[in-house]
Amino acid sequence: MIRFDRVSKRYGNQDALSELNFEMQTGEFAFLTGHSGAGKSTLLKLVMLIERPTRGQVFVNQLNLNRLSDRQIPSLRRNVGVVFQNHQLLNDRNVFDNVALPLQISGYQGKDMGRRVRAALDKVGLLDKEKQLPIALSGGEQQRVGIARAVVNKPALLLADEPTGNLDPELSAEVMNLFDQFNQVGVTVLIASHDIALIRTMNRRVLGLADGKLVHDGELPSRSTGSRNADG
Amino acid sequence: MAEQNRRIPRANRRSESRSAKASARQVKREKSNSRDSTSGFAVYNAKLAAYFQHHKASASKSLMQLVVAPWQSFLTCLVIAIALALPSLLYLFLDNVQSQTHQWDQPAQISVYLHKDAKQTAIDQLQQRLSENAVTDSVTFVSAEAGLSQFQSVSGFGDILDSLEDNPIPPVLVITPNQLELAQLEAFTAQVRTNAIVESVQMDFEWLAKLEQLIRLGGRIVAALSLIFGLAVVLVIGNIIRLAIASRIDEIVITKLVGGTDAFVRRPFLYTGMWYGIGGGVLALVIVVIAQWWLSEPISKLAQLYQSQIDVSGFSFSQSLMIIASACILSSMGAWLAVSRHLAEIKPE
Repeated sequence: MIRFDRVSKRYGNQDALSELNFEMQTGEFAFLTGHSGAGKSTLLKLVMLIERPTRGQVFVNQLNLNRLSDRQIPSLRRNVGVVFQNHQLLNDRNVFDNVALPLQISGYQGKDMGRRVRAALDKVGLLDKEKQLPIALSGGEQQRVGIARAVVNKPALLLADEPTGNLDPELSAEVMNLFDQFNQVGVTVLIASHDIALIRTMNRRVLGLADGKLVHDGELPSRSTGSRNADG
Repeated sequence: MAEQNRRIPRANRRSESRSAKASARQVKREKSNSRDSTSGFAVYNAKLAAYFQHHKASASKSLMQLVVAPWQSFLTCLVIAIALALPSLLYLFLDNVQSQTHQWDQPAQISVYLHKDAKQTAIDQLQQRLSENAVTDSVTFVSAEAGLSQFQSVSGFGDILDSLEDNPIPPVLVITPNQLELAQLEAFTAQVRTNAIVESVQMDFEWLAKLEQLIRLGGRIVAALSLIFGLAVVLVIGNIIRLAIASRIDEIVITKLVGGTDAFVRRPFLYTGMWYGIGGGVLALVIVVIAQWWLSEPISKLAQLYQSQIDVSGFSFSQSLMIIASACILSSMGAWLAVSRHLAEIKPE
């Protein structure tokens, strides 16, 4: 689903990512971890073409992203669901309209759209809040609205950048549980997070980044030394 | 596209690998669709329907945004209206002056005033000779009596003329020249003047030629003003749309993040510009009508003083539509400029 082939990304004279190689199979669930500045966000940005690599090739769905023109970026993004740390919700629109945005872009309308929006809201347990403004919701609820919006288009790939960054452990576990559910119906999930304790409970593949290089790939050992390794 | 999306979830439920393949196909298909829209009629139709749907939604939503801030929108429209009303009024003024002069029009004539006691045979001879000249188109004889009654009817001095015992009007030969070359006509009139029965010769189109030139100059001024004020409209709307874009940066970024195309993001702003244009155009017509109404009374009073009647003509229906359309086009252009300049700069980070 995702393949990085010797990918480097340089900002000024600083390497955010250097010579990165890895592959994620379809239906896989992986965490991306490392200190802030290790390149987690950069990696996600390359996948959704917010940035383009300085060198190397990124493949999503066997599609070489270097070959996509700027005009084709929107159609890629429509097939990748993204959950942001700061939610990126529109505060002047209610929950329903926020979740409906990707569907409007894809050209859904009327009943068809309503059905899909409510299905997504139902999955994240916010069906009764569709009329509320995001500002009236708790942080955990806002994040779940963000997740509903990311999955409403039924993407095959779901990315999340620190989705539990602002949440307490209990809510974080809930959110992770949601991602797990999506993974179980076949969605490939890649989550950038530095919450090692939480990652450890999930027993999933972990890609550890440090200074733009891949320093760990595989499940975390349950001993605490492993976390130091993953932290790089 | 909607068709394809509908297919994906089913595949999802069936099996993982299948869903991946399906969505891989989907991305590829969308890619090819953007180039070749004939692939698959159903897909194309759904896409087209969605396209029109978004146009409709953008149009009504941007209109609503203007309606909920009525004072702000009104002021913007007023700026457009004033910018358009000024050249429009000047145009109307010139148009009316021109149509008035055409009413007076026997446009280019040379009047040859004859001695009162000139013999009719001599006059006939002269008329014959003049009409054979190369520069004349026609020569008509207006007798003293005919001239008097004509003058009575148009001048408004009827009562005074009635009280006169003698007819003060001389017989006249009215020449319509077939050209307006002043030098040549002057030579011609000098020659006519030498005739014994001719008292004086008057070319009464000199001022008309000057007026024509003035009107032509006025036309140029109207054109220049229209250009300048049109540019002002483009810039004003460009600036307003720029501000609108700045105030909705979050929305634009998020829309781009979840896959909105530039055209999708652009659309509501273009419609905002269009609505401002339509509002401004209508308001400009209102200003023109008010100005016309305000001026019509003194104009008709003035006309009465000259014992004449002046009908001030306004814009016809199609001209009114033209004004609204041009307002619409100008402000859409402004919106387009702002959008194409500033939207590309906004990229998610």
